[in-house]
Amino acid sequence: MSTPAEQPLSNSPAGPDVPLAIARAPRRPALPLDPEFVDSALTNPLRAIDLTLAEADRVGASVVAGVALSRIAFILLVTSLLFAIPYGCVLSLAGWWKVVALTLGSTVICLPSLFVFSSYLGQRMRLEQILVLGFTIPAVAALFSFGFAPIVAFLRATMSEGDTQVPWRSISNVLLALSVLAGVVQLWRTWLAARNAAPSNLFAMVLLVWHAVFLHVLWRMGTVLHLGG
Amino acid sequence: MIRGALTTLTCSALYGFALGSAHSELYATRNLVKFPLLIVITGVVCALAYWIVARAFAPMLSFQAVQRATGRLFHDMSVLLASLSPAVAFLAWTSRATDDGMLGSYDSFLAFNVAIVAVAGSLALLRQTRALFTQYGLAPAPAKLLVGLWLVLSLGVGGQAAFVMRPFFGFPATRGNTPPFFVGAEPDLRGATNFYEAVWQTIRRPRLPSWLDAGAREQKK
Repeated sequence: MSTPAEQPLSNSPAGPDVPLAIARAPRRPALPLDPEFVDSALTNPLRAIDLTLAEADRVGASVVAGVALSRIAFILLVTSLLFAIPYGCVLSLAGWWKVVALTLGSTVICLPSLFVFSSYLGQRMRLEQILVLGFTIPAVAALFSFGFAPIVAFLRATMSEGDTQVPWRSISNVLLALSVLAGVVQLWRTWLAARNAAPSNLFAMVLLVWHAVFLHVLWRMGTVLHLGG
Repeated sequence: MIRGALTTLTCSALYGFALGSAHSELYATRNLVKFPLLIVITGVVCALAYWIVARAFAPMLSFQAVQRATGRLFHDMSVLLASLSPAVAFLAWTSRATDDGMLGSYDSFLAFNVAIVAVAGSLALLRQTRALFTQYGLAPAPAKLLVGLWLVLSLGVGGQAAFVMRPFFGFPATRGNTPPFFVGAEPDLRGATNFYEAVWQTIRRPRLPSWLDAGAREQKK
């Protein structure tokens, strides 16, 4: 079956002289994730990475349809746990758990407030829906930290620990901040695809305000864990 | 793919040789190894991050496709820089023949090379963005963002790798010395011990040591 972009030139609404390369397929609403794909992501790390990073639209559609939400939330939780460990090991072997505590810990601390406040304001989001949206941040942050781990290991190996204006830990903090930022961006991408799950736009406002709480807790967690050095 | 990798390594070695000629034959010949090594280290250290970033913006790109695309970025940049090698070599030899044996035209030569690396990098970036657009049907905005992020990662890691692998071309006052192959985290002229500190000091521009600073030497006289 051909996609709209592969239709013959004569069918193009812009006429037969328009090159195919610039003809765009109309954007179709994403379908919920196939439950079999979700199940396979439980045992296949590459599919778990795809589910976390590459399927924001479809995860959003699943949130709306309520398909396989507990399993998606579980995959995001496990991704948050496992993929953050390599970066933690680079920071210090004894503190391998610190990045997990930073991202997942801060999220777990703040998720009850998102659930209660959204319910209180009549948004009627189910707990599984909140969990999928919330765990997006630590899962994506964990995957980005996994990608950055070799870079931080290289910087740590080549930069002196002594008196320097830009120590490797500062670069590491920037990379961790970028990882969390990527998680926040992914949450909003997912939410844009899932906005029909809430009865009004009020949930987006709750989410926005919740970010302030989350970022404050995250900052405090980073300080308590001495991730700044 | 092997042919492309060999071209990248050869072209980067050529450019490295021309660059090192500004100082001495020792630096020039060392750069034949150092420059290709710089590209290999940057590519290897960033490989995982390139792929993770690509998963977020271009899910259709496999790990191999990502490595090929970033490899082409280095390939194009190396070829462009190699084409400028005769010009760089000419500038290197003439400044070496006419320098004052202290700082010489080190700053202007450095600025020229930063400029051509920036131009070559930007052109390679534009071409790879277009290639991602046409080959994988990736929309222009995510293609630009993705290749831009790859470039930022490469600059961050490649910059530090280059700092550790110094010297590529020293200032004339060090001619005749035989420094170690890699200087590593030893402080540079302005005291920076890593690439990011060196960039920071380039912005702040603290004074050079008095024995190298022409202004300070004039004041002493």
